[in-house]
Amino acid sequence: MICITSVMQQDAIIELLENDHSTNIQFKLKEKKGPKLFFDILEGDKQEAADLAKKLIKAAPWGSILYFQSIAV
Amino acid sequence: MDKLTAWMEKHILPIAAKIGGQKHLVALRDAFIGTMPATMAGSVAVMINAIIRDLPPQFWPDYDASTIPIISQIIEVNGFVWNGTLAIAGLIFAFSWGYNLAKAYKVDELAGGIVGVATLVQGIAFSYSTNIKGAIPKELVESINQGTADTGWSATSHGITAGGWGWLNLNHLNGNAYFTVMILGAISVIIFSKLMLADFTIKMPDSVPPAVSKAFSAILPATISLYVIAIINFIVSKVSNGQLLIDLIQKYIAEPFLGLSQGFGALVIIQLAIQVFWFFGIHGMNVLAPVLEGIWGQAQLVNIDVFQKGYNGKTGTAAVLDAVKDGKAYLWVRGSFDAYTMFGGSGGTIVLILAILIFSKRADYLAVAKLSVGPGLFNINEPVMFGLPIVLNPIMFIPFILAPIVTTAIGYFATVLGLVAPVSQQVTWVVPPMLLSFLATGADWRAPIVTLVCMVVAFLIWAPFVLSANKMEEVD
Repeated sequence: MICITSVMQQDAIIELLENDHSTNIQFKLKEKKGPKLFFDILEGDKQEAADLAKKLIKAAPWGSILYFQSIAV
Repeated sequence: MDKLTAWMEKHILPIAAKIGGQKHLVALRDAFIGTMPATMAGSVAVMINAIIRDLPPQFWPDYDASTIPIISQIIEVNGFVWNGTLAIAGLIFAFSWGYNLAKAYKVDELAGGIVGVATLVQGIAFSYSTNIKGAIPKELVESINQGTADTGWSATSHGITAGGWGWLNLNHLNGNAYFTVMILGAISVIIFSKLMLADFTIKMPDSVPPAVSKAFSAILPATISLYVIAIINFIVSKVSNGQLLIDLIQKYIAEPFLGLSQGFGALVIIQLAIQVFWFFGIHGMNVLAPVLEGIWGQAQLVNIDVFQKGYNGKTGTAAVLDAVKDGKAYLWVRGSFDAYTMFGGSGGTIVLILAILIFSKRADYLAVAKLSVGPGLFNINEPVMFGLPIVLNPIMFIPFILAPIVTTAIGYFATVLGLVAPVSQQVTWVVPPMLLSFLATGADWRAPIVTLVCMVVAFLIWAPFVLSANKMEEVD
């Protein structure tokens, strides 16, 4: 599982990660708890998934100015 | 708070995203960052000189580094590093700006960088001339004038003139060039890029190797863009009685603009904006990087340059202070924020961690604080920002906004009143607090004390809110 902490663009983050098929890592939202979004990793390593999520968010048009955290849990 | 967040997401985030994603501003930010390998290397050289040349005389007035073996050689070596980095920081920035701007337009980046360099260099001084008035003996006049072609010296019975062509003025290639590079570089590289995109290029047959074809395709756009700048330089020179555009930009745009950045009000506004962005989960530094680096970053380069090169016959901090009086150096620069407001990270959160460890009765706060101590010592505060959290936590809003503004005031007025040297070195932000301000001020032993005062005051601001959070647990 990975945890993305962001108070902004939560819906956009969920849509971005769940619809990403660029690698074999697949994200599925498990729980939304305040600023924290927990994603199950259906396939692949969770640390790699956390890094990929960070990369995908930063590459989004709004990602460069978002203050967020992506960690494996 | 949810309504406020929704409002921020709807109204502020799109603006911040536009600023943060605006291709010219992104290119500008990346251009500043792109110069770091050179500027940091130069800063290391200047800092070593500050420690071995300028620090000891504070304690031993008779200390003269130039007479001490090894120390004097190290200083000379550092001079070479400075020559190739900070002394020509504007030239390096010109390439970086052209490269990144061309990259933003998705055209030939290398050619964009070259256009950027050529834009700057075509408008700088290529010669110098100076004279000394006084009676010169006839024999000496003849002797000097015989060697004019080689020496560049000429003389009359009333004085000596020294002049030469082919001597590039370093004051046009260092940090002073940034505004000119930003303005003229933008004009030339955007023209270049638009022409490239319009395919206004020389077409080569398919048989020509790609590298040759690429270089040829950039010829027409680069030539046209550089001629546009040349015509601007020519017209300005004619209407201003031979003055150079770079000098006019420096005098009428850069210096007044940088002067405005030295007011306390400007510091409060920028600090407030950074903190509010952070609090609402927007990367304050990324959004405001073009402003921070474009204004206070340039001021810092000017200070570093003056520190190393000297001013009015002085070197080090004394030179910077003299230059400040003449508006040629600055009291508050980019590194001043790091030295006096960002100990532990934005918001001065290392003292928050300390306050939690002393006063908090909340197990969750204590756990986060213990985990955050290590990163906090190196000014990394994501664990505490997201762990407590501080982001969007109403109880933490006031101290998070207030503490950096109050500590900015302490650092600013301590510098203005001469209680501490201005920041004159570039120190990477992950250097622990107090050591950072010591190094950043060219090894001024008073700087860590000012930082300590800032930390104590920030601690007093944070502590009541940590105590309040104890009561909130009971409510929860």
